[in-house]
Amino acid sequence: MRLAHLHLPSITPFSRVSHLQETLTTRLLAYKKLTSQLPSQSPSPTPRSTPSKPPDPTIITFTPNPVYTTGRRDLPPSNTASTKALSLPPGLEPIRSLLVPDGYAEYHPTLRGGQTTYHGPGQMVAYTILDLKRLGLTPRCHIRVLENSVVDVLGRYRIPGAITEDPGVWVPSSSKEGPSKKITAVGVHLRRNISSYGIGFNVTEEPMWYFRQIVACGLEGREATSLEGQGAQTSVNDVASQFVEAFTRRINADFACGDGASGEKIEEVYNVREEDLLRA
Amino acid sequence: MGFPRGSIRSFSQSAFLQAKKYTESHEWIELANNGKTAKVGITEYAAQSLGDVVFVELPEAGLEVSAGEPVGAVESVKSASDVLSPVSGTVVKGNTILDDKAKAINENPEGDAWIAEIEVNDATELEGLLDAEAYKAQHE
Repeated sequence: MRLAHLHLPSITPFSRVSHLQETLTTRLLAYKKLTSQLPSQSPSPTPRSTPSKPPDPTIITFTPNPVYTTGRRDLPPSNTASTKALSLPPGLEPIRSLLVPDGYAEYHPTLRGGQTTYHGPGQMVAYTILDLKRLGLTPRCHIRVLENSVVDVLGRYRIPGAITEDPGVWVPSSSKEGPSKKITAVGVHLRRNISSYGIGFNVTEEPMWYFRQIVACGLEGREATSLEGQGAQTSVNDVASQFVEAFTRRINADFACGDGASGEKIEEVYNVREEDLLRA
Repeated sequence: MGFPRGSIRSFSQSAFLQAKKYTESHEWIELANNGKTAKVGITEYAAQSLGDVVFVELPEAGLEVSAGEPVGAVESVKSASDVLSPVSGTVVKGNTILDDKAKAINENPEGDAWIAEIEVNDATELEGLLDAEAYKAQHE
């Protein structure tokens, strides 16, 4: 199978990527619905019986304007109540002043897993919109692949990455005593095994101020770090392509998740433009 | 060749056994004896492949759902999976046990840890779903 890669090199509004992601998810779900309604069960002899080819899986790499997003555990009281005041989950109340219109940051509740996080300039956000079933991944395994791909990228910069019982990817403290710091947050949404959302990987120190304003991912007293904070000079663009490369390699490694993964491999990664995706 | 048609389904308990059906997106639904309400949950297989469940989003009573629409969500470490209603109906209640103890889903997903009770619009909709054998066959 081929993996489409859309890289958005300039700062992109979060809502634009959300919309794009939704379009792609809907397309995969529609295909799935179509094929699951086919009467042909067990081994269909001719490939002709498939109505069309499944849509290619897509990975979007981008950097949004400053935005705080929450997962589905932190839905706000109710945004349908018609008040002018922005309805915020309790965790974001302390930073209400930052989130006013034309303020420092936007706020978007999402349906992904995980808790509050921040995305913005200096960060490489990667969303994977794919059918886990086709790739032979369980939900847990998909998260591992995302995390391990980040560890692989860190390795290129000689930074040790750790996957602990706390979600995300961490960099152990150099002093051994100190607590490890979080370099990447992970959060995914699944419907019928179609994944959306993904990771936020800190490249520069720019996001740090925004992380200090909140308790990220429900983990009190844990700090964030970045590639730059760990002494690596690089760019969001470089990290985006390194991540896609690592992700593809991890998916294609049969043993990525142990117990006989049976999914298709990624034969080729090709670049797409936003307008190609919307037209397709 | 094929499966032994009829031979295994024709015993007296069949009506009871067939009240439990499955979807290919790994939900189960079991019709109560009243023939009107049903419990919905996720399968053992789904619970296992998700890993440790940390949060379950329950539906509000009164929510009207069509078949294939979300009736809740199950969140493991960092993925939130929608739970889709196998048939159309109206939510009677969510299983509040899961508010305090989400990981009950890992312990008994096809028992105590059901997710929603719904009043089904049309019990015959269940007939279009997978039986235990067909469900098992599709993920093997």
